[in-house]
Amino acid sequence: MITTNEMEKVLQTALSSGGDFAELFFEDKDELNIKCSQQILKGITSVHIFGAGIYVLLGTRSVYVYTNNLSFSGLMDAAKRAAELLNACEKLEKRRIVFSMQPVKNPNSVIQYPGTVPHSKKIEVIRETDSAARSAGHTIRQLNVDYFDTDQRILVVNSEGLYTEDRRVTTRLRLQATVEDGKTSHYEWTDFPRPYGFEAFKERNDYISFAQNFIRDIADSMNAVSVPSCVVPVVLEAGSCGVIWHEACGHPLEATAIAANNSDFAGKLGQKVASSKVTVIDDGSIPGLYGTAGIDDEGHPTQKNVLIENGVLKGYLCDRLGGRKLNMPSTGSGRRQGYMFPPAARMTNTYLAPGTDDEDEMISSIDEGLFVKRLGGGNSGREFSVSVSEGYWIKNGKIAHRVKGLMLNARGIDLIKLVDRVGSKIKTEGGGFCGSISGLVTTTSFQPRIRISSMTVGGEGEV
Amino acid sequence: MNFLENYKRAINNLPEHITEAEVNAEQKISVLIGVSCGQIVKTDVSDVTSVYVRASGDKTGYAYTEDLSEDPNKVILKAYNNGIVSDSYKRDILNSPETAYNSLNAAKCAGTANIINFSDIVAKAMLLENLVRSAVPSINTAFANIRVDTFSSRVINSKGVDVYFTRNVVYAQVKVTAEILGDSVDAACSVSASSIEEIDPDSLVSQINNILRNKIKPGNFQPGEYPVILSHNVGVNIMMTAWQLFSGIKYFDGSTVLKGRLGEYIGSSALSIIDTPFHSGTGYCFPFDCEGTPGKETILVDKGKFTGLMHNLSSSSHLNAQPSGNAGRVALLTGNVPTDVIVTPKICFIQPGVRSVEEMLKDMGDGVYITESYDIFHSINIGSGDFAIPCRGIVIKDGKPHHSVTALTICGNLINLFNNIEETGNDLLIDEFLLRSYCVGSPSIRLSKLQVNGK
Repeated sequence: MITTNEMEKVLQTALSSGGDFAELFFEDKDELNIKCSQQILKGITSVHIFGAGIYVLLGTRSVYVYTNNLSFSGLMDAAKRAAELLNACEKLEKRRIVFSMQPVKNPNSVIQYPGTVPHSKKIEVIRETDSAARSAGHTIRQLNVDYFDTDQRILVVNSEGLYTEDRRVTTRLRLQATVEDGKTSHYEWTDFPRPYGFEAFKERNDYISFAQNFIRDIADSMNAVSVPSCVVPVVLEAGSCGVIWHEACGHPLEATAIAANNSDFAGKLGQKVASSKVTVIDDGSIPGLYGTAGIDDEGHPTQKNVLIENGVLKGYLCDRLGGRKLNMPSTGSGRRQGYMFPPAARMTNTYLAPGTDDEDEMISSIDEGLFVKRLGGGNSGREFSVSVSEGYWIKNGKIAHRVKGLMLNARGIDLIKLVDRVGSKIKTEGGGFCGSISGLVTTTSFQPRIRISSMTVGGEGEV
Repeated sequence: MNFLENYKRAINNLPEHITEAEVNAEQKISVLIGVSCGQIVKTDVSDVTSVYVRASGDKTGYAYTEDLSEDPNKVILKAYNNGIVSDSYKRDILNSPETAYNSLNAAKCAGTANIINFSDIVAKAMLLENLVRSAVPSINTAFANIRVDTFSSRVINSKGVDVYFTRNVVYAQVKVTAEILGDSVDAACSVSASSIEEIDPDSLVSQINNILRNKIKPGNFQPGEYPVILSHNVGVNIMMTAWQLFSGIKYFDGSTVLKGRLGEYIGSSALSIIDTPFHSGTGYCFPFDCEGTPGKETILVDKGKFTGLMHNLSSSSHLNAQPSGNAGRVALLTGNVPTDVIVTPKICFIQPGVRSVEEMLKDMGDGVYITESYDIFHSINIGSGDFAIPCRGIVIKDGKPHHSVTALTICGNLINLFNNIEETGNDLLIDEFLLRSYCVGSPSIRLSKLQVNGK
């Protein structure tokens, strides 16, 4: 690692053609992947990610140069390149940068760093998970159980004198299975992600029951039936169904979308954009969640950001550059997968605040409708879509049968006006990855049980 | 990639217990210029080299590093140690000089990558953005990106293989937001080529105009089964997941709906799917894969008959087939650096037909033209073939656009969809996919029937 004096020189060089801000982002990350396919341990891969990015801003113009040559000369070359590319004005006089250490405590404390745990312990977790899945009582055509751990150390220094570090540790199991019943087969995958070290596997029953439930759910889904296309009330269960907020209004509230004017929420600050029952928050500082960190990837401490309060649009998610474009401060939302991406405004832990409505009444008051227990991944834009992983038909106020092949698909700003019930019991979720402009970042999305007064749903069933 | 000489020395002097080793180094040099309102607003430049190592005794282990100062002997040893605990009963197969790519014998050689001047990239991005802004009516914002990637790959192994190639890909993308019928609408299109001169700004402007022309007055929709035409970008979105049906690894482990069906008819005679290392419709080319195997053209589906699979060395060995140069590392979404050698496409596309989409629409009479779809990763189940894809489109009456409909879902099973193909258009679109590691392509597709839901 280069010295602080050398960092100062690199930043000064990056600023030499007129930039008004420069940042150095260092990443040193170890990953371990263990792959087990059809009960055969296929291989272990050690991964070492090592590089740095130089970010230079002049107003709302940005230059980002990244490299994995972390020698002083390599970084000076990159800084010179960044300055050339900005090429704003004549050479400026160097100004001193005095670094001030900003100690940060990551809210997710780690007990057992993965690098200190022998491979054999991790393999044991894989074997137990594989056995548990196979003992779930269904015919498995194919099963892969993979283990991942990551240990990312980042250092952010900038021309304002910031010098700060964070260490993010995660562990994860990925299960992929194809289950068959003699007539048909169905493939699914799922993750068991944890924002912790190897202590995440201390409670054996957690991952054992997770694996068994995964297989049982695939088998159960094969008995699901299509429903005809219709417009009905939709109840979304507490927990991971919160992904609907991530897709319907989270992405459109990121500074990138607002500044480019391709969000329906642009220019609507202070206006009523949702049902009065809707309060949406993004908070990267909550301990124990997958989207949590001590700082964002620009060194700004993570914080609680209220985006929509009682239906009124209160704020956007801003990174440094997005904030400049919108004339707003950073909200600690500048995130990136790693040094190969410049930072961008991204979500962390996004949730709908609890309301006061009765959870049972939401279902019992519906003659015919859809109850979604789990949502899968989704996609966002002005219109968003989210796949229904586990859904049930509601008939006469009661859960009837499981349904398949559904995708919730609507214009986000229209849908959030239709929320007519918000329950009082909020439930978090394990989390996952969100892929967008600055790569894949860890996030969670959760909520209490809610009801949407009407949505178009339906698959191949007869009308 | 001078540091590789140290790896070469290490590979040629392996300790006794390490019987084989292989290094694949990939260097990606990239320059991206983003222009909006006549000004450069974004510049990204990178130079990153990734080193993938596998080392075998009786079994094989793997390591990956971006730290080029690491001692090659230690990285190879780390890989070897990772293999010790593997359950595999044999080590990975490596290419020999006889089976690996040989530029002298290869029919086409993609070994050149000319230096592209920064100023040329800026000029092209400025020209493109200016043209779009002035040519597209009702435009609010326009953004043009030109990205030039120089990709180099070298594979060295202890059997004497040492192959290298480098290529340039120029990628141009335009995004606009326009005001149409009182509503803000977005449109984007892109193209890739092997040189900056081949990027045709007029063609991109024309594509944007075509997309915006489809944003006509909205209307209601009655769900049901309709004759349908899928636009080429909807076909591309389907292929971004559906290529997995033709992965030798997935076929071997039985995880796709096509398990055991090689040689059977799985689609109509209008459906042919090909995987190829070179195509004039894209700047990408794949002369050899990450194991050093030469890229070969494979007909996966020939007039509806399932005739071939994409293979790496491992899957071809399991299925007693020839490797096709399809060893890659980037599958669908994962939160980690992809390091496993799996099967990925090169340029995998549905064979185009001869008629334009306009002619096909005219012939369809009444039906639905699906113009855009949104979700690549979550809408198709490869195990069952079931899909539910969110999309938007246009209701066609008497062969003419009648009104637009949003928030649609097309539902069904891929095998039924393949069997219902009546015709493919002449508008093949090839697009890059994950981490720019392969391409998929599709023309517009005319279907006799497809379930379309919406309101």
